[in-house]
Amino acid sequence: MSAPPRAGTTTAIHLTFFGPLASLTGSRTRTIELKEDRPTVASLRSALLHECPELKDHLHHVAVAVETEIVQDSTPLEAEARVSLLPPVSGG
Amino acid sequence: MSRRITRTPLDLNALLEETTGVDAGAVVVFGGTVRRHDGGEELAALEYDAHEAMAEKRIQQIEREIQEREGVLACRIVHRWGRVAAGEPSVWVVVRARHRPEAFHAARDAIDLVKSRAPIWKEDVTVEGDRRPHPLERGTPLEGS
Repeated sequence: MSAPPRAGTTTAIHLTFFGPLASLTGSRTRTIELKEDRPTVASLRSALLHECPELKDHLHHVAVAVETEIVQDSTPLEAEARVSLLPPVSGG
Repeated sequence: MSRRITRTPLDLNALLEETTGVDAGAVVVFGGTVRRHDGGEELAALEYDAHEAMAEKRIQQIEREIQEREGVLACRIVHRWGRVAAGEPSVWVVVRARHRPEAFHAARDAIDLVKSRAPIWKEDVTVEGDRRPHPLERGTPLEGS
């Protein structure tokens, strides 16, 4: 059982938006503070709904990667994690 | 060995040389090139974005999967990143196999896997220089490897 979050604790996550997401958000990178000390990918998705409302209609199709691996919603995110947001692909 | 994703113009001859083998009875080359017209509109180029490290790794995985098939002797893939002018190649797939059926089949599957698994995106660049991302709903959601 995980420890309850400490009051006032935040975790910085460094985001990189790829493909059309960069155009939608108007930026390539952004750092957001999650109000949890043990956030997960699901926490990040929830936070993005507020931080980046322009992505609201697309987030369910966006994959999340840490380094070069796609991670699931239950995956914990470390403080200062560098996270990539990957929309549906269109190479070729 | 050359990279799988590159900002420089693609070198098909390098891929052919890397895959040379005397046991192959067939070589199939697939090339994707940038169309001048898309949906009736004239385009100057496509602008490709990519998660470089992940694309490199995933394209290498695709090459390995294809090479593990019965009868396939070699598979090499390279994809452009950055701006690619109309008429220029954006991707090459080279497959060498003992016989043509498995070579054709493997080359088709290889490009299909690149399009569904490699973290690469493209935007249209109009002749006026405007950039227009492809609609997200036209893309393929990425899945974990």
